This record gives sequence, C-alpha cells and structure tokens, in this order.
Amino acid sequence: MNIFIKLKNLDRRWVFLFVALSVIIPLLFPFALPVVPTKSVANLHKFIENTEALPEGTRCFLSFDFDPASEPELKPSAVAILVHMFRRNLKPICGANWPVGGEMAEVALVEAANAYMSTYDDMKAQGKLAPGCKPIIERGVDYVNLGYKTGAIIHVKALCNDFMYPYPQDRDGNSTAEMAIFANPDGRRFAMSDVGLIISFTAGTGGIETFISMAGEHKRPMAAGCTSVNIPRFTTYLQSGQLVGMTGGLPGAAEYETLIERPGKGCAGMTPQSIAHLVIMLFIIFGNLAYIAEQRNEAKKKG
Amino acid sequence: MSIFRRPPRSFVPILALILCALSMSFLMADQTVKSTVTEHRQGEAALCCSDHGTTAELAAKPAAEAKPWFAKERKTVLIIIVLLLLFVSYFTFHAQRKDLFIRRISGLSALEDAVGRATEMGRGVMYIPGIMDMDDIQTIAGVTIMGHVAKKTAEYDAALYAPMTRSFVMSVAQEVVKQAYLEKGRLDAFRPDRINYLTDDQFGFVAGVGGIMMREKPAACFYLGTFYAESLILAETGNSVGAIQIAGTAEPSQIPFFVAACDYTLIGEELFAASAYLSKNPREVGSLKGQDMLKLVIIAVTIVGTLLVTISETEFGKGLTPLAESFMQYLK
Amino acid sequence: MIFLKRTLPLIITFITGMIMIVAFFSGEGLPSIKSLESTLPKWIQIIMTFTMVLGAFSLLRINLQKISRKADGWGYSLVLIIGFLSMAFLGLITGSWPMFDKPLTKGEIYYVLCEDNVSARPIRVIDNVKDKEGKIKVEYVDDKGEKLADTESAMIPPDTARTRIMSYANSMQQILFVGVFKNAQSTMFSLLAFFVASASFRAFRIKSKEAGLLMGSAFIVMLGNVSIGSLVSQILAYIPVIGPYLNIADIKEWIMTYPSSAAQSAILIGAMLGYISASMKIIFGVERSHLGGEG
Repeated sequence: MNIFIKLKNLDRRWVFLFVALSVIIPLLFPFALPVVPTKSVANLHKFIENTEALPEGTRCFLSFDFDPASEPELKPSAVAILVHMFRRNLKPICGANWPVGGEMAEVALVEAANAYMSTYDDMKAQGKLAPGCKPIIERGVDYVNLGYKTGAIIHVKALCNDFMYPYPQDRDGNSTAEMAIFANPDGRRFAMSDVGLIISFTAGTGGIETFISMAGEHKRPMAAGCTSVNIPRFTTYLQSGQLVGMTGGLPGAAEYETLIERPGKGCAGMTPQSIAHLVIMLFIIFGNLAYIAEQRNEAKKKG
Repeated sequence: MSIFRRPPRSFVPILALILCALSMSFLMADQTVKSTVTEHRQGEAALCCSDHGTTAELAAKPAAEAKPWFAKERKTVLIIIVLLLLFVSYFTFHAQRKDLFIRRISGLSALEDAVGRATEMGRGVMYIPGIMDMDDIQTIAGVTIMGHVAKKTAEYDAALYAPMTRSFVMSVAQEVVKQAYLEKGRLDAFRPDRINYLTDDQFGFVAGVGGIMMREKPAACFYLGTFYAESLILAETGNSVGAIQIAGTAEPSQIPFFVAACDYTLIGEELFAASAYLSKNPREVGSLKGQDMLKLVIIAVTIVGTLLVTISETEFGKGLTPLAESFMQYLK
Repeated sequence: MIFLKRTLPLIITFITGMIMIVAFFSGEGLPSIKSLESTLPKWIQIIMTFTMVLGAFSLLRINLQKISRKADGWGYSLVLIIGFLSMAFLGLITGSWPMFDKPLTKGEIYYVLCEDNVSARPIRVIDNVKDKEGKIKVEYVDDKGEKLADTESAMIPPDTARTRIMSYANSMQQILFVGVFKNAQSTMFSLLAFFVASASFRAFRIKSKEAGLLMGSAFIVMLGNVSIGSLVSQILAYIPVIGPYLNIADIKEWIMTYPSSAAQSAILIGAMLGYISASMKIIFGVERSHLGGEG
C-alpha cells in the first residue's frame, strides 16, 4: 500500500520520461498493429469512391487550415485523401484560411503527386485506377495550389461566387484564368457550385466551420480532417449530416491509408500512439490505486 | 450612461437621426443601382428583341426577378434573436422591481479567496483573457471579469500580471485595470508594464507565459476567454508552480483540459454570466433569466421535434410524416 | 473626457452593431447594405493591423527597460530583442525587395528559391519581355554563370528572381522561419502529450459513481481510437455470448456519436445563447465594464 501512496507524489518528470519512452521505443523498433476503419472515415472514402456523386474529372476544394504545429496530425490524412483523389481522377484545388496553410498544401501535394506517379504502373495493373488516369499529373491541369487568402468567412463567401476574384494567381504567381483546371465548358467563371466536395483540414478556428456556416450559399457536400482534440466537436456535424465524413487525427489518417492500401505516416504512428495511450491508462490506474490506498489509510487513522 | 436604462434627452434623437440618415443613404444607393440596371436592360432589350423576346417582356423582367430585401434562409436565426430580445427586455425591466435568484457559481465565488491567498503568500496573480482579439465575445467577457479581479488585487495590494496575445486587448485591459485601481483609490499601485503584449503566435505566447509563471510563481491563475491547444499547457504549468487556478471558456474541446488541470472551471455560458454574477447588477441578472427562458423554448422545441420525428417513423405515426418533414425543413 | 472614453464608444458600438444586424438579415434586394457584411470585417482587420504597432512598441519598451535595469532574467529579454529585430529586418527587406532591387536586366544573373524554400539557385535572364502570363524567359546556370548542360530554358514570374544580396536575406529569413520558428512551434504543441499524461495521472480520480463511468468511457475511447483497440476487441471476441458484441471501436463510435455529441451540443447551444445575449448587452450598452468602470 505504501508503494501506491509514494506513487501519488511521483515527480511529474517521471511521467514525462515514460511517455517519451513509450513513443521513442516503438519508433525505433516498429511493429504492425491492425487498423480497422471507423464509420466516419469509411463514409468519406465511400463518398470519394462514388462515381455518381463525384464523376471523373470533378474538381474538389481542399482547404489547408492548419500550421506546422498540427502538421504531424493533419498532413498524413491530407496526403492519403489527395492520393485517393488522383487515383480516382478527381482534381484537387487547394487553398488555405491559415497563413502557412499554403506551405502545408504544397508539401502534401508534392508528396501525394509523387506517391501517385511512382505507383501508377502497379495500380494500373491491379485495375485500381479510374479509366481517365494519366501516368503524369500536371500542376494547373490536374491539381493546383492557390495558397493562403485572408478573411476566412469573407474569403469563403467570395469563393462561392467566383474563384478568380480572390485568387487571380496561384501560390507560384501563375494566372488562374489561364489554367485548364478552372475551365468550364460553357465559359462560366469557376465558382464553388462547380466543386464536387469541400474538405477542410482543420486545426482550430477558420476551418470547416467557416464552410459549414456558408453552407446555405454554396450547398456543396463537405468533409473534414481534424485534430484528435476536435473530434467530439465535429462529430455533431456528422450526426446532423452536414459532413459526409471525417478523418480524425492520426488514427483517422491511418484508417484512410488502410482503405486506399497505402500505409504512410498515419499507420506508422499508430504503434507509438497505441503504446502511449496504454501508458497513460496505466498512470491513471496507478493514480487511482494511490488514491484508494490513501483513503484507506485515512479511514484507518480515523477508526 | 446606458442606452437601455436612462437615455439622456439629447442622445436618442442624435442616434435616431444618424441611423435614419444611414438607412436613407443605403436605400437611395440601392434604388440608383436598380434604376440603372433597369435602364440598361431596357436598352439591351431594344437592341436584341428579335432574338430574345419583346421589349415589353424584357422590361418586365426586373419586376418579375425582384430580389428579396430579407435573407429568408436566416429566418430561424431572426426568430431566435427576436425571442431572446423580448425575453431579455422583459426580465431586465422586471429585475429592477424584484430580486432575481442566481445560482452559486463556485469558480466565481472562489475568485476573492484566490486573490486573498496570493496576497497572504506574498505572490502575484496572473490573468489571461484568452488568445483571441476584442472582436471575440469571450475575450470581452474575459476582460470584463478582469476588471473585477483587478478591484480585488487593488484592494489586497497583490501584483497583477496579464500577458496578452493581442495588442488591442492589451490596451483595453490596461484601461479596465487602471479604472478598477482608480475606483479603489489605489492608482499609485497600478503597473501598466505588467499588462504587456507578448506575441500573436499561439505557441510563442504559451512559451512566454510559461516563462513568466516559472519566474514570478503566481499564487493564483485565471484563464477566462477563448483558448485552444494551449489550455492544458498553461494550466499544467500553473499547477506546477502551485497556483490555485480558475478557468472558463466556451470552447467545448478545451473544457475537459481545464476541468482536469484547474481547481474551478466555468463551463460555456457561465463565462458570460460571470459579469452579472459578480456585479449583482439587476439588469444583467435579468438578462440571464431571459436567456434561460429561451433555453426552455429550445428544449421544448427539441423534445417536440424528437417525438414528432420518432413517432412519424413508426407504423401508426405515418400520418405525421409530412408534419415532421416540414418541421425539420423549417429548422434547417 | 467621459464623452470620449465612454459615450462615444457606446454610440459607435450601437450604430455599427445595428448596421451589422440589419446587413446580416438583408437580402440581395439591398446590395449596398448586404455588402457591409463583408466590408466592415475588413475595417476590423485594418484597425487590428494598426494595433500591432502598439504591441511591438510595448514589447520593445518593456524588454529594453529590463535590459537597461539588468533586471532578473534580462538575458531572455536580450534574446527576444535580437530575435524580434532580426526577423522584422529580414521580413521587411525580403517582403519589400522590389523597392531595393533594380528591374531585371537581360543577360544578368539572378537567384530563384529552390523547392526546399531555403537555398537559391542561379539563373540568367535570356529575355526580359513578359509573355501573356506575365513571365520572363530564363536559363539555369552554375555559380560561374555557365549554362547547365542538362536543363532547358524556363519561364518564371519576374518577381521570383532576386539579386545575390536579396537572395541571402531571403535564405536567412527562411532558415529562421523553417529551422527555428516551425520547429519551436511543433515542440510546444508536442508538450501537450506529456501534460495530458501528467494531468490525467494527477486529476483523474474515481471519487464518485459518475467519475467511474467517465473513466470507463475514457478508457474505451482511448483504446478505440488506436490500433491496439482492435487487438483488444479480437481478444474479447473469445468471450462466449457477449464477446462478439464487445467491439471497442464500435462502442467508442457510439459514445462519441450519442452521449458525447449530446453533451457538446448542449454546451454549444448554451454558449451560443450566451454569445447572442452578451452581444445584445454590449450593443445596447447594458454591459459596459470592458470600457472601464462599473457595468
């Protein structure tokens, strides 16, 4: 019993050390754990797979509303979704409501485009690519990174009417009016109504909730990639049908990677995260044992 | 002076005049735009009537396409606001005649004890009104409560540290704290350099505040406003220096962190009720009652809606399906 | 003075508040009022930008005072001042470099940023007449100005080409941003993992039945969120009769979708009513303590 009481006063640096070890050791000696997709992730995957909802060539808007702090949690799901879109011959248009979101989008796009092109032949042989898929995808034709624009809700409102107005140029300074990805057969200016799906990778404010609050104007299906801490908050939107699906934190990314059969950083992060969760649970159990021991001691003293 | 309570004679006409002038100018501007559009269309019609119909048909088009003055998709919000306004107005006036009950909020009751404890220990008090700017209502609520905390620190002569993440909030907070010290007759003890700006960057701010906490070792920490991922880092650092901590936020994702790491937590709307609770101002307490009444209405609508939809899904309730659907459609 | 400090802000708050409410509810038939919905927030952005000067001034003044007084921990203030000035200087130079650079000259060597956002590679301007996309023709060269054998000429926007000094300044700024700032930010965020562990160890106590329920559901959610939960489910499946129903991920999904979501919605509805009510009180001047003094 005394050991437990001593545990209660354990210096928190020991806790930190155990948490660090629980992450470092599985990273040094990796082993695989099964990843089973949950409903919200599977629904998003199913929606992107659905050729009726998103026919080949449909343009999708992906908003990168996070910064380097949330990159480890959100980038893996962004890369997985982008790879899936390339395989389905959907055309991602990336933007950002956060100042460094444009950089985040660029890194994810480069990684996803490379992953798609390097596995093109294998995927083609397995029949896992949409009929219109090309071996090499081009910027401005198959995807584009528009970069960051200020204004959050004002920015989204402007996109509802015309993409060229807030984004006359893409992130690299190329004129968007000239880009094939924005061309409409009837010559109309490209607007949110031409987008098949909106996905926001959200770390805090100015993310998917901005698009949800403008849903009355754009009326497009929406999905989110969010940090683990935001999952309870966004589950409400899943339940109300405002989101078609969601990838939550690193587990969400791992589940999506499993669904597209391309294990990446999400799957790699599952082992350390699993062990870290177990360690935290053990600490909670020890903390409670210490609490019970202390209560008993006090009861004995009173008795 | 308050517009709500005792409007001075000269103030209301001035406001009415300004609002009238603004509305007139906007309406005139819109009428000018409309007439220009109509003229333009009539001109177009005269040029191309052979292809697209007669001039009369096209000239009549603007009238047929008349755009609404009211955004219909926002009618539900309007109803909620009007209801809230009615309830709040009624109970605000009602409160002046009769004392209204306000339940105990332990976090706010502990506020004075926390400042007192800091004084006894000869250490300071730290106050953070969130990490957002003054356009966020939670920040305003945080700054409002800061005024009350400042009165206590002035009374007990405890040091008040308030690092800020927005410079606008810093200048407002300095003014509020200065006023509080002035009211307590302790303007000499007011130290504006302790209410200072650190950085707009979220984690840079956390690092800065952590540093101040470790150096100054405040005995009481208040986190009242909008917080995101930094909430737990701040609260845990505060805990490690042995501070009594009171937090409050309306960000649902951060509430569990504060509950785990702080001594008292104001959950959601309690943050907005704090000003009324602390000032015991009958008008403000009345507005809380108005808020509660609207909550009752929302609960009633939720129960009716849930029952309606559930019954309409059953065999014997099929007749209610159109009613349930229109109910859901209306709320969307 | 009272008029300027209390009455005038109240008048401005009331008028702008009313305008915003009217703009929010006005339809497309009133375009000039409707447009205020997007115009006024832009004013806020402009005002906020000006207040940054105020913040920078306060930061510099307080830390310079600390250094001059050699107050406790003045070394931190020194690091802050050096960081502040160097980032501001490099940011100003690189952000407004066209003001310092001459127009691009044909045949001259300039530098463009590489994909790593830090290093720069030399180019020579072949033709400085812009095409219809506003780009100019360049070729990639080595440090001595010799054309690289395996590259073709490229088209680049002229504002991406910099002189040598500007290129150094840009690389320096990127090193500070990518190498220091981004990593420092990630480090601070990752502290959360450690603090979650220490906070739950210290504070998560089963003091009542409700706390016990909370811990049970917390364990299920923690397990269900990671792969090990599936492993546990597979083991639990061996339990006769109820085993197949004990799927941790499914139970977690149920907890998140129903009890947790209901609680979140309740908090959100309450908070939103608080938001509206507080806004109303501020617009109508019932709540004035943020202007200083009694509410």
